[in-house]
Amino acid sequence: MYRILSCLILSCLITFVGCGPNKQVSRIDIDSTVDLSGRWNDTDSRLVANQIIDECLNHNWINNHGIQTSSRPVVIVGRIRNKSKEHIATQTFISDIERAFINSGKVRTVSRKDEREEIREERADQSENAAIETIKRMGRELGADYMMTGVISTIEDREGGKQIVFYQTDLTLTHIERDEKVWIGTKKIKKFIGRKKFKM
Amino acid sequence: MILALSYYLIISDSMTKLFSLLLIVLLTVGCAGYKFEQVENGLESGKPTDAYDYLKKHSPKKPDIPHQFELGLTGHYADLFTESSTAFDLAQDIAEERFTKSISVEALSLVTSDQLRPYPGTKYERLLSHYYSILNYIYASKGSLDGALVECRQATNLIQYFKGEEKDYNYFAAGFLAHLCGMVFEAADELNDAYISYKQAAEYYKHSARYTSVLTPEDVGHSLVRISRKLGFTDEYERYRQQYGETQPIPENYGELVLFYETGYVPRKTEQSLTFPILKTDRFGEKDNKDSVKFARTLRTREGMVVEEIKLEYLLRVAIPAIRSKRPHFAGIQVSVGDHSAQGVLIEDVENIAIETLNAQRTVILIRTLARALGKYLLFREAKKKSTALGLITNLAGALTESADTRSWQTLPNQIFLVRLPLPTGKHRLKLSFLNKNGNIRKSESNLDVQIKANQISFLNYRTYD
Repeated sequence: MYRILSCLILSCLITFVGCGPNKQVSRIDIDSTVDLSGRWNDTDSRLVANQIIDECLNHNWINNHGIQTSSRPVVIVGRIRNKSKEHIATQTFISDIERAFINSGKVRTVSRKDEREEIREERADQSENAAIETIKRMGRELGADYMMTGVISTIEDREGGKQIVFYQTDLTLTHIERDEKVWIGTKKIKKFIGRKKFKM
Repeated sequence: MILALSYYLIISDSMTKLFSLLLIVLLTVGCAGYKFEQVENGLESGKPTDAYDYLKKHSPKKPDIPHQFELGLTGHYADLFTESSTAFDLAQDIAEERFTKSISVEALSLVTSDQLRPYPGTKYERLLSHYYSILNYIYASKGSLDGALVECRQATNLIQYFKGEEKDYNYFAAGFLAHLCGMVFEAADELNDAYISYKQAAEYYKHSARYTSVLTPEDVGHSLVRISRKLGFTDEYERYRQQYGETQPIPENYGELVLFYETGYVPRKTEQSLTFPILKTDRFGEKDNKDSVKFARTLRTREGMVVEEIKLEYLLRVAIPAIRSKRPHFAGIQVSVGDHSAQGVLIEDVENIAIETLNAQRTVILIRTLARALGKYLLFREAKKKSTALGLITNLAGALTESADTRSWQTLPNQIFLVRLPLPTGKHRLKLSFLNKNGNIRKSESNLDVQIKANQISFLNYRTYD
C-alpha cells in the first residue's frame, strides 16, 4: 500500500514538473547567426544584401555613370518579388539593400513609392501649417537614375529526414530613362536541414 | 525491439514501476482540454470568434495538433486571417518535428495507450490547412496574391514530398490543392505555374478517384485547354481540345467568381470496442510463447469470434478508433446572379478520405492495440499470481489507460464543392440554393456579395453546418 502511495506521489510530481514553465529568454548579438528552422532569416537577408550590393558597387556601371555625368548615381529600390516557398519579409530585405547602398557612400538613394506618399503628405501639410521660412517646397524631389528590382526564388529537394533548400536572389539594376539593364547580380544560398528518424 | 525493451523494463522490475507509468499516462492523457461541442456552438450560431476564443483559452501548454488546426480554421471563419495562418504554420512545423519519433514515448505508448503518441496529423489534414491558408492570404491582402502564391508553392512541395515518401501514395486532397493552386497562379497571371498545377490536378484527381469517387472536375480540363492556348503550346492545346472540348473565352468586362462551398463536418472518430478470444490451446504467456506482436497477428483474425466457454482462456477487450459516415443535409449548391447561374461540382469529399485513411491504418492500429492489450494481460497474470488484489488493480489500471486514439481535425467540412462562374464586372449579390442529395433545392439564401473585376478571379468560401 505504501509503495503504491509513493508511486502516486512520484507520478504527480513528474507530471506537474513536466507542465511547468519551460521558457528561457536571453539577449543575443544582432549580427550573430542562429539557424533554428532552416528557413530564410534575418542573417540571410543581411548577408545577401551586403554581398550583392558590394558586388554591384564594384561594377563598371558606377564608373561609367561618373564619367558621363560627373555625379553620384541616384538609385531607387523597386519591387523585390518573393517567388520562393517561404513567406519572406521582402520589406526587410529592401531595407537591408538600401542600408548597404547608403552606407557605401557611392550612390544616393531615394525613397520608395510607398514612402514618398507619406513625405508628400507631410510637405502638403507644411505648406498649410508650418512657419513660412521652414516650409519645404514641392517639386524638388531627386529623380532616380536607376531602379533596382529583383526576385527571390527557392528550389527544394527532400527525401526522408533530409532536405536541401536552395535560395537564389537575382537583382537587376536598370537605367530608368534608357530602360537599359546595367548590372545583374546573383547570390545563392544552400541549406541542409536534417531530421533524425528517432530520438530518445 | 522497443516492445521487448518495454516488457523487460516492466516485467523484470517490480510492479511499482508499472503503476508509476500508468499513473503518469492517466494524468497526462487527462490533461487534454477542449470540448468540441463548444466549438460547434460558436460556429453554428454564426459566432466563429467565440469558437476561436474558446479554443485559444483552452490551448494546451505546449502547442499541439490537431488543436492548431482547429484554431486555424475557427480563426479563418472569424476573419482573423493572420492569426489563422500563424496557427496553420505552427501546425505544419509541429507535423514536421514529429517526423522524429521519440523512442521512449513510442515504447511507453506500446504498454499504455496510443493517445500518448504525439499526433503528427494526416497527409490530407496538412494539405487542407494550406487551402485555408491560401484563402487567408487572398482575403487579408486585398489584391496582392504574393502570400497565397507562397502557400501554393508550399502545398505543391508537400505533395511532391508525400509522393516521394510513399510508393502507394493515395493523393488524398492533392487533386483539390493542385486545382486550387492552378486557379491562384492563373489569377496572378503566372500561367506557366498554373498550367503545371492544372496538369498535376488532373493526375492527382485520377489517382485518388478509386478511393474517393471524386472525378476530375471538368474545370481542370477546360483550364488546360485555355492555358495551353494562351501559352501557345500548340500540340498540347490540340490534344486537350480534343480531349475536353473547346472553351468559350470570357467576354470583355467580365471576371470570374470562384466559390468553394463547404458542407457540415467531417465525421468524428469514435471508439469501437472489439473482443478477441484467447483460447486455452494457444498457451500464450507460457515460457516460449510471450511474443505479443506475433500472437497479436494470430488474434487479429479472430475479431468477433464466438467460442465455447470451456475452450476460452480469456476474452481480450480492446478499443480502436472508427469513423462512421455522417452526411450533412446539404449535398450540393446552385449559385445564381441574374441570368447567370452554375451548379457546384464536388471537388473534395473529406468524409471519404477520412474513412479511407483510417481504414488503411486499421491493421497496424489493431495489431499495436492487440499487442499492448496482450502485454497488459501478461502483467495481469503475473500480478494475479502474487495476489488477487494486485491482479485486480493491474487489470483496472490496464483498462483505464486503454483508450482509442480518436484525435483528428474535427472542424473540417464534410464535402467541398466548386462553383466557377464568369460574371460581369461590378458588385453582385449571390443567390445560394442548397441542394439535397437528390439535387432538389432545400433552402436558399441571398446574403453573400462579391466584387468582380475585369479579367480577374474573385475567390470566396462559404460554409453551412446543416
